[in-house]
Amino acid sequence: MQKQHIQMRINGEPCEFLVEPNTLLMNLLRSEMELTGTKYGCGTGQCGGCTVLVNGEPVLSCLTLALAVDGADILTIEGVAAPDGTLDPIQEAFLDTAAIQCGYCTPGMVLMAKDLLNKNPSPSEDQIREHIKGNLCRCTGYHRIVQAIKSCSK
Amino acid sequence: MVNTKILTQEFDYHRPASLAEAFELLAEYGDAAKVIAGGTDVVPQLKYEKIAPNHLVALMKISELSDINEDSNGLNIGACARLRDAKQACARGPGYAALHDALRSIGKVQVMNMGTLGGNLCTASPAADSVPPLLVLNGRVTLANAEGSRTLEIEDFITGPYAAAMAANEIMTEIHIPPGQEHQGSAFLKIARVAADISKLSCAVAVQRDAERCVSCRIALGAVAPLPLRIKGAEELLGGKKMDATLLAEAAASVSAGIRPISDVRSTETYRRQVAAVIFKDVFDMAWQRAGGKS
Repeated sequence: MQKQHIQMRINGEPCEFLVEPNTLLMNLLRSEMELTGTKYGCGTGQCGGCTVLVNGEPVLSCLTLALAVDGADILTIEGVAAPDGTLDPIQEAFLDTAAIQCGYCTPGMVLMAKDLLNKNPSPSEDQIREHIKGNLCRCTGYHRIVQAIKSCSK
Repeated sequence: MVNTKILTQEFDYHRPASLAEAFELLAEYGDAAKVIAGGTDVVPQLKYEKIAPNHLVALMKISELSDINEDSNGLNIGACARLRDAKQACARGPGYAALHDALRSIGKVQVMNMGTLGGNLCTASPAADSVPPLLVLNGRVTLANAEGSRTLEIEDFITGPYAAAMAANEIMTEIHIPPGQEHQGSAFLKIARVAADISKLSCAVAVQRDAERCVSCRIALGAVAPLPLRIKGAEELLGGKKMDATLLAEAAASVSAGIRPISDVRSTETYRRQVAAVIFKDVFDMAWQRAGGKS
C-alpha cells in the first residue's frame, strides 16, 4: 500500500498529510486533526452523522477516501463558528430552540442547515425536511430541528 | 461483525487524469483493479469485503467523464456526472421526465453530491432507481477500452443482480437518452419505508398517446426480480388501445403477475405483488397526463 501526499484546507487552514490509501476522510479529521465534531454513526452512508462540506457541498466523510479530496476545501462543524468563538446564527438557533438532545446528529444537522440557507435563504418547511432527510436524529423527532432552521429563514 | 468505522482492506490508489491513462492501469492490473467514482457503493463494498481489489482506479479526475450535453440525438450524460448534475440535466426536457423523477426520489443531498449515474448503473443493484426509467426511455450506455468503444441498450447492459455486461478493461463513459417525442410522457415512482431508504419496489412507464388512444407504452419495474424487468405482456395489452379504467386494471393485473418478487427484510412477495398494481396505475396516470401536455 503506497502512501500518498495530499493537501487540503480544513476550516480555512492549509494542511498536508501523508496518508495510506485506505484512510477515510472521517478518520483523518477525527484522528489526525482531532476534529471530533465529525461523528461516526453507521459508517455506511445512511445516518448523515459524518457530514462535512467539501468545496461547499455536503458529503459523507465515512464513505470518502482522504485521497479523493486532495486539494479540496473542507468545512467541519469546528469551522462554523467565527474564530473568536462567536456562534453562527444557525448554532444560536439550535440552542434557542432546544433542537438538541443527545447532540450526536447535531454537527451534521447544522452543516446541512448551513448548506441549505447558503443556497436558499428562505426555505419552506417542506424544503427543510427534504434537505435533512439524509440525516437521522433518534431523539428529537426532528420537530425542533426544523423549527431552528425555520427561525433562520429570511 | 464488520467495523464500518475503518477500511481494513489494503490497496493502491490511482488517480489517472485521462481515459488513456485509466485504460493503461486497467490493462496492467486486470482483475486486481476496481474502478471507483463517487464511492457511495464501492466504499461500503470494500468495508463489507464484497470486493477485494489490490488497486483502485479513481475516475473523478477525468473531466470529460463528467460532461453533460444535449443535441438532436437527445441527452448525453457523462458516466461520472454527479447525480445532482444528472438530475438537473434531466429537467431540460419532458422526454427525460421518468429519469428526472427517479433521481429526485434519491433525494438525499449528500449522496446526490457524491454518487454518479454511471456508478448507479455499474453497481447494477436490482433496486437501482435509475434503471427502470432508462429501460422505458430507451436509454443506452457507451463502454470504452483502449481499442475503442461500443454502445449497448440498457436492457443488454444489466445482466443480473450486481452484474453487468462489462469487461474488466472497460469503463462506462456515457449514458444516452433519446429526445422525447410529441405526445409522449413518462414517469417514475417508488415505494420505500422512509424517504432516504432503498426501494422496495419501483416502477417507470413511458407512453405514446394519441388523444384517448395508447399508441404504445413501455413498463419497467425495479426491486421485484433479480434484475429490473420490462413487463412486455402489459405493454402489448395496452398498445394501440383506447384507454379506459377496465383496460388499465387489466394491465395492472398483468404487471402484478409479471413480476418475480421475493420476500425479504423490506417486504413480502404478496405485498410487492399487490402494491405493484397500485403503483403501476399511479405511474401510468402520471405518464398519461404528461403525454397529454400536462406536467
